[in-house]
Amino acid sequence: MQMPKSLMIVSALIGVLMLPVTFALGQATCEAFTSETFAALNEACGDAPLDSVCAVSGEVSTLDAISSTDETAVILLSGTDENNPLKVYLLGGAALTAYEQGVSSSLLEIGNRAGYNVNLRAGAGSNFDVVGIFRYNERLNADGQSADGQWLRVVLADGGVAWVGTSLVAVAPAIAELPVVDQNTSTAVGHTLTISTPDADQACDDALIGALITSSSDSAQTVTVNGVRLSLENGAIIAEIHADATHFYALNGVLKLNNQAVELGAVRAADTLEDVQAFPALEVIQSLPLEGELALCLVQSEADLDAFTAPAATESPVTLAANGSYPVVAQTSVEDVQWGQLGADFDGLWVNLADVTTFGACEALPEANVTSGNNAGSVTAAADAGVPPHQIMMSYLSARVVGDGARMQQLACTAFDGQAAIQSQSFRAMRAELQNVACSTTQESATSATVFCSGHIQTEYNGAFRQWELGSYNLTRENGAWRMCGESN
Amino acid sequence: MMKRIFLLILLTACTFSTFAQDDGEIDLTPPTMGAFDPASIADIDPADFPIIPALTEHAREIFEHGQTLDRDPQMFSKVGDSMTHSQSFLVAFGDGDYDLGDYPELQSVVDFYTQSALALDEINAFNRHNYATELGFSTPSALDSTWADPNDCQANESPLSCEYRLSNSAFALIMLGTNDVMVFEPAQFDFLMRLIVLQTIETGVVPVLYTMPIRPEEPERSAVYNQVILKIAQDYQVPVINLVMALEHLPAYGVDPEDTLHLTAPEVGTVATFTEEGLEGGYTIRNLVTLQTLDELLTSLDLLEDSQE
Repeated sequence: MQMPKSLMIVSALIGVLMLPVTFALGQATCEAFTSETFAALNEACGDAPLDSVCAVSGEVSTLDAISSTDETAVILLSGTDENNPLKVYLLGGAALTAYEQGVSSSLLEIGNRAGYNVNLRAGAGSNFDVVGIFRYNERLNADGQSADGQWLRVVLADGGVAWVGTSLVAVAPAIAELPVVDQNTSTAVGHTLTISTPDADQACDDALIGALITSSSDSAQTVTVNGVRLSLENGAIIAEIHADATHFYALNGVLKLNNQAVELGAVRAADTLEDVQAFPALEVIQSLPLEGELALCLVQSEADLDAFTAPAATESPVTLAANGSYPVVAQTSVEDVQWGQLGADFDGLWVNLADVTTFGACEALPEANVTSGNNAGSVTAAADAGVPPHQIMMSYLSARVVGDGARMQQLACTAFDGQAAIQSQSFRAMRAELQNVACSTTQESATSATVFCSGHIQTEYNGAFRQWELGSYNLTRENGAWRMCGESN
Repeated sequence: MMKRIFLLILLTACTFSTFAQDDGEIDLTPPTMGAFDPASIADIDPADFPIIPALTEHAREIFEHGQTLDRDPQMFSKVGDSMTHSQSFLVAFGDGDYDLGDYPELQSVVDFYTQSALALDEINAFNRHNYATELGFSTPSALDSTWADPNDCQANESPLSCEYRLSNSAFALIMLGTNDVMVFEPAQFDFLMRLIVLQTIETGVVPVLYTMPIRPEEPERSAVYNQVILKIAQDYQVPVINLVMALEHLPAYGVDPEDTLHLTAPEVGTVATFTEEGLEGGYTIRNLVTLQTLDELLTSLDLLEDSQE
């Protein structure tokens, strides 16, 4: 049996598990939450130490010895970047009611090296029940190891934990540095905050109640807020506190919630469109101390806004309330009218951009991929028109290694459609990636082309690597675009 | 002891009626993805099927059609993943390194393939290179030209087509699913497996299927896959070797618990040793039931004298 691992961690940023601290903080008046107040707060707290609470007066308190205050405050949290701490601004009179620092500052992403699905168990031993599957091509997050180092504890998407044999996991030196945990060790990673709504007489009317969490670091910073693990890389998330749930609005940067990547404009902790709250009003968004330009395009209407299932549609609109903003992720023009497509959490509905006020990155919206009915193929081909044969082939190969059958079939000629679908699946049982691939058009006429690709596809199966040499491919023109049509003789 | 068990199973198989010798019209229409109906396999139980299949009338028709195309009855193709690609599957019989033990009657089968006119330089059906077997093979691999040998196969030719073209085989021993079961839903496996079987039939090659060994990581889905395989064999009236039932008495159902991709080898003897000790290996069992099936099929086609006589 191996010696028990030490609880002392090499990195200076990883702390020791502490008892949770309960207190109340940040019950400031509503007038304080203006852009001017935020500016004053950042100026007053520029030199505040990490893991502290800094009020607009400049008073600083540590998180484990805080006393209640009614001043506007920002919480500065340490992460993996000493120069760019996490900042948590309490909004609308929300209160920080509990704080806990976890046993480690970050999770370790691990891969399955067995080449096949392996069991996840309820405890650190093969005698424990199987509670899940760690699929051969999946990645999970480990937060600790057993005392003998034979088992790793992984944190699941629902926040639960399970155990996997260390020998089945891809080797990584950082595994040895994981703290020793047992089944009951808290899964808190880094800092854990509980933010609550204030008493009714202390709440701000018509204001966002919650917190703005920001990070200007290029490395992912982690904090758990009301049970949801947030990861921010140059990011900003709004946490809006409701009576029964906390809604998170993905505002800026590279974001994960409970280890799942979320796209900008996403809302979490809401199940249906009716339950989804609109993003906070533009006036609120515009006042927030975001670090950097907003990468999201938000729109808002002075009156209730009609949204449709397709651009330029007129029937059966969905009414969006006027007191909030909505993320637009793409646009298209129909008869000189600009339509914006809302994000997936708003069912991809379309709004007339002439009816809204915009804020953020609305000038650089991508063109929407509008496909419908029998025109789907020609519309997709229109998107590929002008793309040279070798780029089409490169796109085909890129789709091939990730098993994107739909894209491969889009890029294939009609005669090769069935083969493209089959090809998209033939590497499913293994990992595949392109290596040193470069494609060039070696012959081209009005209707046919030959593309030669050097390099290879590398697959990994059951620990063994294999290289699949590429070669020459025939492409033909269909609907004005080049399409992959098989191997060249 | 083992031989008595297998003879009992074989004799019992002859009385089974569940694997119907129904010579009604067989639908050879290409399958449609999404047409798979789980209810269609709900009543399929491998325990109701014999381990050693009999020659169906449709299989006879396929063989005879293949003969009009001059396909070689003394050649068979192997189609499958690493278990089929392995040296442990039948190769030793082609190399002369075997012991039929309690099954001397299978000598005629071995001779049939090793003494063929094309068995030059000691290369024969048992030990030759196959173009449709490979580590990591799955059902789409057999149909994807990417997996074909770039040296010997033609552009856009799938491994399956290449194998049938180069071998000119009259039979194909097809075992797939071990890799598929980890990533494909039964509907996908059913669709792709049907494509393989239909292409085999259309080429004039008799497909001889196998139920697959249970994959320990996916036992439930493995069981469903075997139902799919048996249903396909029923629908197309082609032989299926019920390997999963043949392995049932072995520890871990004949699958290596340390290497769940492969069958076990015996601790005493080799995979080509048909003694009581040798038949404790999963590979040995597979080799035995394969030879017994070939014996059955060849005898029914009057290519061999009845080995039981």
